[in-house]
Amino acid sequence: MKPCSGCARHLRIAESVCPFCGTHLAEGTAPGGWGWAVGLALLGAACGTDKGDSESGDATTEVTGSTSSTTEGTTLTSAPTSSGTIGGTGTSSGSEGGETSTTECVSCSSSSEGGAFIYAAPDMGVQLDCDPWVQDCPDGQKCAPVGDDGTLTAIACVPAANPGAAVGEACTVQDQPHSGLDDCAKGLVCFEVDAGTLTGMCAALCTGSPDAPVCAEGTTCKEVIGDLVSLCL
Amino acid sequence: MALVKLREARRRLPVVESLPPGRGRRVLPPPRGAVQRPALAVWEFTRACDQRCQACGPRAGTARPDELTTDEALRLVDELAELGVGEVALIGGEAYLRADVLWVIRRIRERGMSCSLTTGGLGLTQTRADALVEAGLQLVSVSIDGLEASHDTLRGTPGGWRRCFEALAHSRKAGARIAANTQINRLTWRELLPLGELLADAGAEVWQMFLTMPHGNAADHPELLLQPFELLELFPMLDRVIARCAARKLRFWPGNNLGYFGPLEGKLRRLQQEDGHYKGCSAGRTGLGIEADGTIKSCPSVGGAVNAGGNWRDHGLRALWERAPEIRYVEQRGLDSLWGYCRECYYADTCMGGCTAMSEPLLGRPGNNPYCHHRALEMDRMGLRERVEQVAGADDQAFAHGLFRVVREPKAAGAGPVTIEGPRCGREVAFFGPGTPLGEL
Repeated sequence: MKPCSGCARHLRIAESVCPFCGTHLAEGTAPGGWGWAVGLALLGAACGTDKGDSESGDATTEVTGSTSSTTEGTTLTSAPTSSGTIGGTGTSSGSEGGETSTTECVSCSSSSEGGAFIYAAPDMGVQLDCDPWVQDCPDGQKCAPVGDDGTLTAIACVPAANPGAAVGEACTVQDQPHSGLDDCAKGLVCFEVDAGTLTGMCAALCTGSPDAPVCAEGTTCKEVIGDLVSLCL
Repeated sequence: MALVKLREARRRLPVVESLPPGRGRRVLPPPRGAVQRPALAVWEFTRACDQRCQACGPRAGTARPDELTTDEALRLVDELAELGVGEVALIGGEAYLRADVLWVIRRIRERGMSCSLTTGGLGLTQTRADALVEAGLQLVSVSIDGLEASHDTLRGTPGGWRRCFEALAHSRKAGARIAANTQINRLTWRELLPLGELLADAGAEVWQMFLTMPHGNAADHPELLLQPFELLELFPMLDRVIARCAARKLRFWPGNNLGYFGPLEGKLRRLQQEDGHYKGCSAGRTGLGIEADGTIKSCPSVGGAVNAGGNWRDHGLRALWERAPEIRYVEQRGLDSLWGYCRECYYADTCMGGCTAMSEPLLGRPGNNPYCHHRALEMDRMGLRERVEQVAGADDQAFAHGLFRVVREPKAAGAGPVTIEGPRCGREVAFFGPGTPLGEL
């Protein structure tokens, strides 16, 4: 489903007009969501194939038009329905303030499809020790994503190389591709790290905020891990 | 007596330098045709409890007859790991009332699973918190229902609210990540903003909230429930709560019965669900529930025979998860199991009537759920509103429920109902399908 640009209600992807507010909708695939580990995989390795239907867990069904139901003699008119296929697969994740990026990886985990079981503790997800959007770590450190075995585990303060490699320059990561320990300058991360050589290229983290990202001219803010980690690419 | 047991359990716990990090709730999609593995197992470790809460689903207080022994619990942990569970969430009652929970936590972690605890917090002393974290517990979520007066009324324990915040502090000091969970009901719904500030001050990282469900003890207190039309006031309030949580870096986490598909849905679920919207009941799909006596069920928040696949002692875990009809129900039902307004809803085949734990105790069977923001908005657009009235009470069993009817009436006061949607027969009578009306009650 995709959110209506007018009223933010979720709509079937095939809708061209919002049945709730009448907004005419732009064509194209749903902006989709993002997955924690899916995005992190982009930091370490290339992924290439589309998400399959099974990842969403939703069966793809045809919906026939139905405009009213009757309960005990009273006709209720529900919002207009339209025939279409529900459960279309989103193929990209999107930042509200920037262009979408593709988060597709057959080897990556899906997001928390189960939502929140009541009575269970909430899903803690990633530990957030700092804000990569504002780089609020102490002097000598930078806020960076840290992972373990391909899964993002934290956004944490890590040592920042000084002066450190600049955007577009080669970089090296310590220990494993997602350690967060690289020789890029503050505000940068080592991107597209080769798992064998532990080398990659420095890319800038977006600044500003998820709703109003800021990047250098010639680059665009792209979500890599939801609105936690976005890079100027 | 209990303190001695804790000390002994702690003494017998091997000292380790580190434990595996735990897989958490991220799951790989299953191979085509295979049953999804449960990412999360929610385990009522004991039904013994040190409180008597008005909204308690299992009617906790005394232990169930024949609760699993320590050895059985450890073997069940092994089976959970073999089934592919990523996280075990321990609940109750109060899990800490059994000192052997330390060994179970340790085994959970040794088997590569994450481990969390939901607690009322009353007896979560620093000693207990230290012992739990030492064993391997990673997250503590304390149940805090509103501000002090509301919480203590709901929990029936004077001073309990303050002890909750002490529990958060103890857990944090012990090294656990901390969170809170809050029921939204008539006492708490207007206290969410100030409560959020206090939770953020206390260092909570995540705040889960959900609507009080009419089961267990709450079935005896229908006056606690919000009315469906009151969602129109609740959701704008939640919009402010979400904004404030973001400002305070407190992650807002909606429970599965909070929703659905109104204009706030994306903000509600953006941190939780890909595509930012509800995808239907997760019972028996990505999670399972375990009762203290070994009963395996599709969800921790449901009860009764229709939701119990069977007992672990008799069948083992994998067989029940993969084959018990009661656990496979949500996965196998179709649109014809929806009824009433939900059957014709625009979101029918995605939402499938929302949370089973909310709708089944209300109207006797799932598939029709008036606690839906989209539905309330549609009613309002048509000049109508819905409210629920209890028509039958509950017995004294865990997760027992009464029955309600849904009255649909004009928004203008004084006008009579447009329709009255009564409860329907339970799934013990008709397992699939829309069921049949029960008639006059």
